[in-house]
Amino acid sequence: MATGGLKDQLDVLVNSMHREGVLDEQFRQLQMLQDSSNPGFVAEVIALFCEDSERILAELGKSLDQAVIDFPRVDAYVHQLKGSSSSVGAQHVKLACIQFRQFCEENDKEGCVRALHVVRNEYYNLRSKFEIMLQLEQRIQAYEAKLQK
Amino acid sequence: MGSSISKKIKSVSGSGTMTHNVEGNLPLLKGSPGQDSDNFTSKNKLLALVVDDNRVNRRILGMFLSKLNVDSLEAENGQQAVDIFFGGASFDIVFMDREMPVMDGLKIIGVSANNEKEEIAEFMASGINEFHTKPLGSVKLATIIWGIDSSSF
Repeated sequence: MATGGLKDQLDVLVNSMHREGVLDEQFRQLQMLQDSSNPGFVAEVIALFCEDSERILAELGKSLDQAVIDFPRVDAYVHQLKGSSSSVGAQHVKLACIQFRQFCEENDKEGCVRALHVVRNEYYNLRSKFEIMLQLEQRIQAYEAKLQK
Repeated sequence: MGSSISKKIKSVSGSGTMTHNVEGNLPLLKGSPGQDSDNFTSKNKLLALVVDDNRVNRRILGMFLSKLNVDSLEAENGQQAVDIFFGGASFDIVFMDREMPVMDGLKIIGVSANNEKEEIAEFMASGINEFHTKPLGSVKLATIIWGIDSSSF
């Protein structure tokens, strides 16, 4: 498939993520930082974000599985995830984290468990879209490299 | 600490909104990074310290700064930042997250022998946390650092 078609697919995907609110303006700022001197910047940031997010989600699962919940510790993890999701423009994840922190402040275990479920769903929805995005980007870059030869 | 320096040594990033970390009248950094960044490129290369326990945040801020021709070093927490300072590095600007493990973001205390209201107001507006007139004795320092009631001495 010509790169034009792939680029259209990528634009449609990213635009739909913005329309749905999955991504916000911050992600566009990240895309603008990527250029020929840093062609893999967005992919790198996404990879870091996903690694850290999955580590945090695992810790949150363990923390909320305890008989006695350490709410400040849970809140600290959610704060981290909120920070990185905000930085990459992952709006739905960020908003879910804000709600989660509210339950932490109220020492509401059930609320936290529900909130974790929401955050996980939002994160995995985002991750699957990021995977498609990165696959398209890789194919575009491969075609363009081939054309230059 | 002069008000021009304290204007540079700002800012507390909250929970990771990376594009809005710089406040005050820094002429090189008005506007939104990434948009028409050529207009905001630093003519003299500056060095920034980025202090954040979140590596995603550090990476992104570092890239934004790089686009503005600002070099940066990173620290994961306040203790590392202090170690870097004591190692002799000299920074033009510090971006520091407030909540971090090991050591939180630093408190910035302005000191001056002057106690004119207008000067104090300007100093506070530059973003320092507190202002105290010189000289600072041990009693006042204990109060500043640990909130110890000076009447107990």
